[in-house]
Formats: sequence, structure tokens, C-alpha cells
Amino acid sequence: MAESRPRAAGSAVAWWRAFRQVRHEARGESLAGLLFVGPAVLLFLTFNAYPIVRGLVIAFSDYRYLVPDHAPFNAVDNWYEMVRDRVFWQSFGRSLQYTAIYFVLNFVLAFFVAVLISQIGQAREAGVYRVMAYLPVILPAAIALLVWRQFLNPEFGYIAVLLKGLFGSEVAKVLRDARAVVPTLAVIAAWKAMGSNVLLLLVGLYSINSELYEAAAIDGAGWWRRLMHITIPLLLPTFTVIFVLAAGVLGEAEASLIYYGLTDAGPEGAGRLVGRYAYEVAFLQGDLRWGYAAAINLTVGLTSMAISGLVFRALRSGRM
Amino acid sequence: MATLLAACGEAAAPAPAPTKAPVAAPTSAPAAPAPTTAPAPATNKIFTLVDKTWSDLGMLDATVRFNQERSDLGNVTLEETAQGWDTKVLAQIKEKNLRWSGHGYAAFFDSYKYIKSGLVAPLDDYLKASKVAWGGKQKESYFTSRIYDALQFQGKQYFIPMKANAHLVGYREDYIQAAGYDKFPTTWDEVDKMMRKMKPALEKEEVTPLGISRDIFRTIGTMFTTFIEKPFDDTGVLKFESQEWFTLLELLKKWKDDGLARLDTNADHYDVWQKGKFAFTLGSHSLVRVGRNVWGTAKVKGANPPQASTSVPARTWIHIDSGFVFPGAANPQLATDWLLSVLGPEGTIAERWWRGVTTFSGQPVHQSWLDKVLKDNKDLAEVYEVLKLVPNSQIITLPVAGAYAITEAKIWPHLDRFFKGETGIKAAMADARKEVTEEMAKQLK
Amino acid sequence: MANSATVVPVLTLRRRTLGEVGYAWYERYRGGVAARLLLWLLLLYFLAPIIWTIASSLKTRAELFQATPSFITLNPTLANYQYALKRLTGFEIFFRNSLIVTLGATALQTVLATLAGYGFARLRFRGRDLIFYTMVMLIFVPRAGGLMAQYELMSFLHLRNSLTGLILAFSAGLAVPVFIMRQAFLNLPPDFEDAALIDGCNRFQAFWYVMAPMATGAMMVVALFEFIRVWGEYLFTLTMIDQRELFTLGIGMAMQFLGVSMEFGEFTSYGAQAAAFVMASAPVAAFFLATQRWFVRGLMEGLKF
Repeated sequence: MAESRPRAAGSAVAWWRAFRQVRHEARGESLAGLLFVGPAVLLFLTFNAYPIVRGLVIAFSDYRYLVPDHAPFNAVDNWYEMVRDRVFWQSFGRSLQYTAIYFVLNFVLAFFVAVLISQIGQAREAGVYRVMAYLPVILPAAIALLVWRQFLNPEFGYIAVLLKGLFGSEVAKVLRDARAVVPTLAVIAAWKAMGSNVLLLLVGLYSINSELYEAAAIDGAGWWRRLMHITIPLLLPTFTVIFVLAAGVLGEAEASLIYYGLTDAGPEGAGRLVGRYAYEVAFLQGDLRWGYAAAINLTVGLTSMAISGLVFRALRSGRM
Repeated sequence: MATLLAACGEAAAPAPAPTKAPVAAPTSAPAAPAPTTAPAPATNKIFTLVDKTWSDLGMLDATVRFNQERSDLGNVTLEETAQGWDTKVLAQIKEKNLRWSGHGYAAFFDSYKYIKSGLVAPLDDYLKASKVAWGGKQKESYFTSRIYDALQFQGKQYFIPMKANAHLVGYREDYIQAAGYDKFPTTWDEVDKMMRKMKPALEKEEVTPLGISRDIFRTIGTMFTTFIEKPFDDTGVLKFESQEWFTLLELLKKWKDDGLARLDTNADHYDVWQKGKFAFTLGSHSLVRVGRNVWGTAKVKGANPPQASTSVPARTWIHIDSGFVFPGAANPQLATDWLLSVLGPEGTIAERWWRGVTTFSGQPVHQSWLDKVLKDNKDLAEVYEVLKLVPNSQIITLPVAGAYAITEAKIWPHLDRFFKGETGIKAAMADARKEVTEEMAKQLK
Repeated sequence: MANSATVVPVLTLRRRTLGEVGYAWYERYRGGVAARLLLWLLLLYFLAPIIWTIASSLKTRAELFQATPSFITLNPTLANYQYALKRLTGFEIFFRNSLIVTLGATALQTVLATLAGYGFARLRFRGRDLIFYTMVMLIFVPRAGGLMAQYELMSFLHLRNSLTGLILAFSAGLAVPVFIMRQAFLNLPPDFEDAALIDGCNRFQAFWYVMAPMATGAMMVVALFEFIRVWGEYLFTLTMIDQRELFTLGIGMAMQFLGVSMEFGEFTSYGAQAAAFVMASAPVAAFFLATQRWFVRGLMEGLKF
């Protein structure tokens, strides 16, 4: 199933092939083609393709939106500044941590939930569980985050009660701790996204032939071995899809902007992930330094591509 | 399917409905006429902004009244702000399509920043030309001329006050009674004694005597004004290297170490207060109001701040929040007239505002409203009391407001180190001084 | 599948210790008592914040402020809802805006993606694959300009502060939808269409009467994904909309609680907030629960593309 999803490497190859062939193609049904494809392509080019190209130009300039007519090309000066920018490095580090927690939760928890749901024989019952797991996905991001903000409120929320009951009030203080900020945001984001992954994994699990398990059971394989040798290898393509779909997490800005608002980045600024930092630079601070913000976005985007590439490779080579 | 195929052959055949409606039924959804950006408003009809709180509290009512009573001046539509409005206004000024003409609220600690970033137009010309009577008589209109002074910056007036905040003590009467007191003490020495009696009585309910907000201007700033007559130096910076500041901070640290005080961010501070987890704190009158909402009028009281010395007149912290007009506004004169009418010393328009805000947080700046709204109001007796301290106290001026924001941002890491016992107060404040000086130099650029 | 994979060890219980009904139940659910317990525990993570919010919205003031709040409420009250409704101005406007933008963008995108998917899958014309793969490739190019280049563009087109602008910009995220629709049309057998063309249908008629009705499954997937995405969108709308009367639900709600000064104390009352959240999510949650059978299955079908 995963084969038919867009993939970076695959589509690059296909693009090159199409590029080489285009000269030799017949004109064919050009008018019909224009009518069917034209509107979508026009809209796409205007609102998606153009901003991407324009963004690359902005990233190499000292564009300051609030300063009239100020967008001089400045080559790599933005990166010269970036390597010296402590706030950038701190926020970038937080984003890496955020991404790591997000992925572990998403992979491990979503996997266990999906495996357990796939064990349920009653179709109706399994349906109820799928709905429950999917419920957070349909909530608007703003509501979801504000709900969690209440749930985690150190005075009124229930998590505080639980922590205090289980571990005492010293541990409950962690809710106000700057070190808890990034994990908190990651847990919420994973909560919000996990339902989709559960469904993706269920599609994969339901399509695994049950005879494989039976054969393995006859061979005396316990559930752990079956999990490791049948389920996980067969789900690798699904994991790849989950990974590709979540590639933008490193540049995530929204969660913190909702949870802590636009003017405050949480205790000791610990909610300032790199995506939020870029948004602040671009839309909330000083002259609105679009050049610098675009350079940050580009850096984060390229890093995220590199990480995706590596993990993608690892997952592929691990495949049977 | 066959009938469909047949239909295709005839050019004029009425199109039959598809067998299955596409699931994207919303295709036929109301593509209702979507509102688009209004062009520059007509000159006698403007939009203004204010935060929801103040809009609900009377500014909207006053504006409606303004449109009825002063239709000769123009028509004002008051809209609620959303976070991030300030950079959006700056962008609109640059794009030359500014929607709003004025704003009803700048918190004192933002006012200087707003001037510096180009959000505030000087008002002198509009004040002079205004048809609202008190516009040209700024100096004599406030109950103390110090308020007028606080609005001046480099010889110009940028703001019109929308409320004053004189800080007081908010306390739980049942808690201090538990320590054997029936009135709040008037000196810090007595407070110290009271807290030590309180602690054993309240400890098992996890109630701390004193709650400190991490916003300097609330608890700590207010306490500081009782230690020193002029809390700010000539450049407007809080005197955080003065002996008085050291004394205060050492005192707070001792209280904190002895379990008599707790320190929270302001958002938490209010939550903790509502949970009844501390017995008293210093700040705006909101404390009393919010506390009474939860615990009832009888249990929550307000009092003047205790003083460091009984030999000098009592003081407290006072700041002024204010309304202003945007540069590049469609009709700055109308925006000024609107502010003057809503925030003025007399008339039915202004009455709506001042009656509203007084019940909530903030005090009038005109003698007329002090007499009319506060003087005989039993529910707000403690507010009237604390306003008596205003003539002795230093009001936050605009340069102070500018330096305040920097100090607030830079001082905390050093105060935190001090509270953790990692460093002495003098060394910590010397470190903070370096950063504040550096940042002030940047701001002057 | 369910019988075969007894992943979690099963408790063996005797018929006579359980009785007839108990044994019937046991037979039915055998293979997963422990699995269910574990699953319920995990599902608590998904549901606890939601249940807590609903419970909080129904609590009395005394319950909200008691030293150790209980998870659920014993004497529910609607006072928080009344209070929130009184203070929460603009809710209907935000809701209306969300509805216009979401339905508009969903409809537009689904139609365009279907047309284009068909074009890329079935028509032969010069540059077809080049255009298609360019669209796909751009998914993977980092968005350096982010919201800035879009801000410029929307400003230039006079589409900022406009719901139409939001609809156009949201529906323009066409790369994946077009990919899904192209795949759907490629998977359909060409015979029907060929027959229609021979019968004298033109391309559009063949598409409209024959092919499109067979691709409704994929269309539904495209529409659902877009619906969820646009309904929950936050940052783009926040950046493109300055005026409160054009806010969508998410922004409007967030600003009720974030954009207020600290003196606001009163409305930040926990129960009233919770009530506001419940009211803001109730419509979409109800829509989802009502259509869930169709919804989740559609998604699961669709995810195979």
C-alpha cells in the first residue's frame, strides 16, 4: 500500500523521466487536458508553488517587512547570524527533543493500540475503540491544546491531583517546571495525531494473512516472536508512511503558540521551539525580519529532510 | 449505466442525476458572500480597538452612547483585540490600509514600547482642536497633577488615562483571624509576627501566608514603594541596587526559606489565590474581586499596604493605563474625541466607563468620579482608602515604563539564583545591572 | 484473525464457576480479557482530557474549588454554560465563518482534485507527467517562505482578511489529493469509459457519468481529510485574518482565553472555560459520532490508496 504514496526519491526519478520524455510526446488531447487539469494546476501554482520559490529568494535576503522597500540580497549573512544566535540553537535543540518524544510516542503507543484493537473479534466493539482513538484527531487544534492546558493546570487540573496522590506534592511541582514544557507539548501533539496512525496501522494489520500467525504458532513461536518476526516486518511500509506524513514536526510552531499564547513562550521561554521562534521573528517581533525567518525555516526544512532520508533508509533496509 | 450511456449520445438530453451523489456533498454548500477588507473608512466613521475585558466593562456601552450623543463628532465602532494586534497594526500602517484609528488600552508597561515601535501618535494638536470640552485642559483635569506628568514624553502628550491602579493588600480574613488578628497589620514587622503565628495554624491545609507574584510590579514592586520614596532613578530604572531593595529582597528570601512565602508566575498566582493556598498578597484590586467571587465578600478583604516605617507618610504603587491614537489613523481627531468623551471627567458617556471599570479593577483619575463613584461606595471602601496614598507616592512615568519592561525581563534569572541561595543579592543585582544597562543602550539607539 | 491470534495469555475458567450467562460472555470475549484491560488503559490517554473537560464544565463552584477535585461530578449544573454563553460573544460568527471556509475549501478542493486526477490518469497530452511529477516533487521541498511568502501573495491579491481568500488558499493544497484521485482513476478498469466514448460521449460526459461515480470512495477520502484539516487550522488563519468578525472558531476561542489581560480573573474561571470548550467542540464531535461508521471505514478504505 505504501508504494502508491508520494515519495521523495521515487518521484524525483519519475520527474526526471517525464522531463526527458516531454519533447517526444504527442500533443494529444491538449484542450481536454487543459480543462481538466488547468484549474487545479493554476491554483496549485499560485498558492503553493510560487510561495515555495519566493521563500527561497527571501531566505537569502535581509528582508524586513516593516521597513519600507528593505529587502537587500545578503547571500549567506542570515546563516552567519544564525550560528551565533543562542536563541536559535536553544530552540532548535528543543525541537529535536520534541520530535524525538513525538515519534517514540507515536510509533510505540499507536502500534500497541492498533495491535490490541486488531485482536478484538467483535466488529462493533472494535469500531467503538477506533472511534475513541480517532476522536482527538477531529478536534480543532486550538480546542485540543486549551483542553490539555486545563487538564494540566497545576491548581485545578486532574493530572496535578494524580501526581500528588501517587508521588506527593514535590513531584506534582513538575507541572510548573520549565523542563516539563517540551515533553508536555510533545505528548499533546502525539495525542492529537495518534488516531490517524492507529487507523493506518490497523489497515496494515487487517491485511496481514492470519495463516502466517497460525503457521508460526504451530512452529511454537510465542506472541513476542510473532510480533517481532511477522507483525513488525510486515508493517514497515506503514511505519514509513507515518514517518513521511509527520516529516514537518521538526518545524512545528502551532502548539506552543496556542498553549502559551503569542506573547509568552512558557516558563523560562521553554516553549520556544524553532518553528515558533521563526514565527516570532517573522510576525511578532521588531521589524518583522522575514529574511532571517525564512533562512531559519529553510535550515529546519533541510534538516528534517536529511533526518527523514536517514530513517527512511534504515526502515527500508530493515524490510524483509 | 446503459441509460446513462444512451444519454450521452443526444446532445440536448437533460442531464440525469449521477447514480451516486459524490460524497463531497458540500459542493453545493453556501459559498456565502465572504466579507473582504473594508476600504479606508469614511472620515467621520472609524473603527477602534480595545481588549474584550474593557469592552465588556463599559467601554462598549460608552461608545454606543457616544454615537448617540455626539453624532456631530462622528461614529465609532469599537472592536475587540486579539493577541498579536500590535504587529498587525504596524503592518497595516506600512501597507497604508490601517483599519483602526485608536486603541482604548495600553498597559503601563507596554506604553513606552508602543511609542518606540511607532504605534502611538502625539495628541497635542488633536487635544487643542478637540470640541470635547476638557481636551485642551489636560493639566488641570486630573485629581493630582502627577498623573498629567506621567503622560508626558519628550514634551508631548501621547496618552489619555483610562484607569489608575493603586495597589493594595488582598487578604483572607478567616486566615488572619486564625492567627488571632482582626485587622491587617500596618507594618512589615507586625506582618512578620503575624505570619509566624499563622504558619502552624494553616500548614496542614497547605496554605502559605504570603503569595508573591513574579510580575515585579505586583507584590514586590508594591512592597518596595513602602521602603523607598522614589523607587526609580533618573533614567527610569527601578533602583535594584539600592540598600532598600537589598533589605526587601533579603526579607523576602528569609520568608521564603522559612516557608512563609511562595513565588508563582502571575497566571499561577491568581489560580493559587482562587484555590485559597495563600493568605494574602499585594497587587491590584482584582485580587479582592476575584477572591470574593470564590470565597464570598465576608472572607476576602482589602487593606492599605503595610509600611516599612511609621515615621513617613504611607505610600503604595500607582500606575496609569491609557488609551491612544495610531499614527496614520483615518481620522485621528475623531479617535481623540472618542477617547476624551469616554474617559472624560464628566457626562453620561464617561460615567458608563468609570462606573464599570471601578467595579472591576482600576480607579478613576478625575476628582469628579472619585467623589461620585467611590466616596460613599461601601463595597469599594478599601479602594477609596488606598487612593489617599496617591499624593505621597511616585506614579510610573513613561520612561519608567520603558525601563520597567527591560528590568522585568532581565532581573529574574538573577533573582532566581539569589532565591536558590546560589549567590548574594548584591552580586546578583550587579550582574543584572550589566544586562539592563546593555539593553537600555540598545533601546536608545 | 481474532481466534487465531491469542496474543495475550487467556485465563481458563470453568463453565460452572461462571454460570450460563457468564460462560456465554466468556466464550464470546475469550481471547482478550487482558488485551481489553490493557487497551482500555491506553484508550484512557485518548479520552481522559475530554471526559475531564466535560465533567469540569458541569461542576458547581464548590466542586471546582475544593482542595482535591474529583474526576467526575456528582451534582451536575449548567451554571457554567449559562455564564459562558453570556460572556462568550461572537461564538455564532466564529462558527459560521468556520463552516463557510471548511465547506467551501472542501468542496472546491474535492472537485478540482477529481478533475485533475482524472486528467492525469486518463488523458494523453503533452507534458502531462511532467506537470504531475512537478506537483508531487514540490511536496518535499522545504517551505522556507512559510507564511511570509503567502502573506505577500495574499496581500497582493487582496485576499487577506477575506474568507474567500482562506477558501482559495486552503483548497490549493492539491498535491496529495490529486495524487490520490489519479491513483483511484488508474485503478478503475478502462472498459466502461471506452464503451462510453464509442457510444458518442465526449470526454467530460464520460468522466461525469461513468468514471466519477465510480471514484466516490477516493473523493470522500479527499473531502474528509480536507474537512478535518481546515476545521482545525490555526496558524494560517491567524496570520491572514486581522478582524475579529472574520475569525474562525479555533482562533476565536483561543483569543477569548489568551488575548485577555490578567485582571480578567472572572471569566478565566475554570468551569466556564470548560463549558466553552465543550460547546466549541460539540458540533464537530456530534457530526463525527453521527457519521463515524461511514467516516472511519471511509478513512481506512481511503488510506489504502
